Amino acid sequence: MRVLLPLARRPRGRALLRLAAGADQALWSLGAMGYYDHHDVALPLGWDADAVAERGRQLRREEGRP
Amino acid sequence: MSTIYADACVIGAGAGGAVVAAELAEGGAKVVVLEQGPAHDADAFTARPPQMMARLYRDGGQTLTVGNPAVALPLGRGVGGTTLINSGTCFRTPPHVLERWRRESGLELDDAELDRCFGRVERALSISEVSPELAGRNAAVARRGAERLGWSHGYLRRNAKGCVGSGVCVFGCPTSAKQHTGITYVPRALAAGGELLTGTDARRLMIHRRRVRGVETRFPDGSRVDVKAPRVIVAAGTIHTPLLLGASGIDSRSGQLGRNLSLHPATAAVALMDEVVEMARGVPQSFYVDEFARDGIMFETVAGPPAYAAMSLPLVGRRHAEVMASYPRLAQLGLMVSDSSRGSVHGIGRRPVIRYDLAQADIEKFRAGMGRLEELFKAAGAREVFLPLPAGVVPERLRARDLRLMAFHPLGTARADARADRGVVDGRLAVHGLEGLYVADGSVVPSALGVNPQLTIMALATRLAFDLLETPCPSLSTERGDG
Repeated sequence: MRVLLPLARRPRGRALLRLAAGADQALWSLGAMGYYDHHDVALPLGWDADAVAERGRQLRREEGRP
Repeated sequence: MSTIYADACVIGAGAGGAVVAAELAEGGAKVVVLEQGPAHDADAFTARPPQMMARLYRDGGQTLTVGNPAVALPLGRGVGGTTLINSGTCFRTPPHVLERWRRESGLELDDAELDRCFGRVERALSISEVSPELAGRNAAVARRGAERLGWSHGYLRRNAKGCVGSGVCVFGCPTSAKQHTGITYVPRALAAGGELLTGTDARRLMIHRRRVRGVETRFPDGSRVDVKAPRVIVAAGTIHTPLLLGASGIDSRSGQLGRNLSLHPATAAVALMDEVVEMARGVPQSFYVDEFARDGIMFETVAGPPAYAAMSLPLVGRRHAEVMASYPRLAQLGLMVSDSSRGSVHGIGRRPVIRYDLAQADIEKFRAGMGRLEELFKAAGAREVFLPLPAGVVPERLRARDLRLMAFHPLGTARADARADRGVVDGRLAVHGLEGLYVADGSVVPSALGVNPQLTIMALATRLAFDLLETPCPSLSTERGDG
């Protein structure tokens, strides 16, 4: 991916990647993961990462978990 | 340069190394554990996949094989190893696999002894079956489909205690419910007087006259520390153990070092349901369908937050966005293949190059498995099923290059075989032809298991530890004082 991402930023690189099966999907997946990680995008879909992490901290504190 | 003296040096604090270290330390040995990665603090677990992949995974989770098709191979990095970032699923080694190892690898595997080792690990890690309530609605969808088709299924057993179904096992459990080795066996080793050195890179095993003498290590600042020990247990993982052995001049007579790599290649389908699923509420990997396990095909639920689902949804562009808008109604099920394909690992510089091509027999398993996945989701009432295939490709005609694969269970690159000309280690995990050197990770597993391997690795590591202590692994009843 370290190689693919810089390639994808260049027109000739993108053309090259289109020849590689699955590369477009792989790049899309990485971009999509970043986008849907945003709080404002995830929250309307029912996911609040901050609340999940805070619940974890609270449980560990209350129950003496590591 | 400084030198540390110990009875045993363990390289790696994952599934194998942490177990050996704790058992040896509690048995009275002075143990030093070398771990390349850091110790992770659960306070820093954010439940955000991109952040956590960058922190907890080797190479940010972007380790790839070279071959047809390329396979993503996520590996954990840090105290706990891959147990830190796996789903926690625990299967004992299937009996037919043990029988195969006896038959093909000449391994002497005593069922009673293995039973004691499995039991000891299961108790240490609080392994129990996931309840339907905790499994969540993603598992309920899979269960409904399996029941309607009459397929064998069940809830998975996991190493978790006090789990509340946070839905992010593979991105660092924020509640520390998952009993990975970093919070179980490693603290036990330290409490028994063991020493853990994180951020240490084991460069070379010191070997003299066919006997191991210790390990040469480097810290990130370049400083050198030698650990002198008459026993060294290599547990750097299936990908890195053969590199360390090779770099130390161990040229196995068998020619098997770095070869025989199996992966359990896997993929997953997504289904749009009419009902609300909210796949990240509950245990992501909680339910299995083993109807086709004898054919090398296993289904296990997989799930995660929107960022995870967006990464695994096999669509692009506007269609991807449309389906993601229905994320609360998406269900997901993984397909894992017990592979007969075999790859290899070799080093360029100090980095691994993993070569793996999917054999025709395994392509056939994916063809059959994809069809079954679709069948199961439709039986469960799916409105639409998204198979991980390019547009226009149907399961029965898929080619290797059409597959989007990940793999989580690399095994076999220092395989055990009773014969020195067939394996790197013997049946008790001692490296053939060398004194004092042992391997205790997935690399010794002689063949694909067809199920998640962490419990197998831990049980074999337990057996090795008690071998080294020259005492039998106690049974649960003995430990309780029943007899």
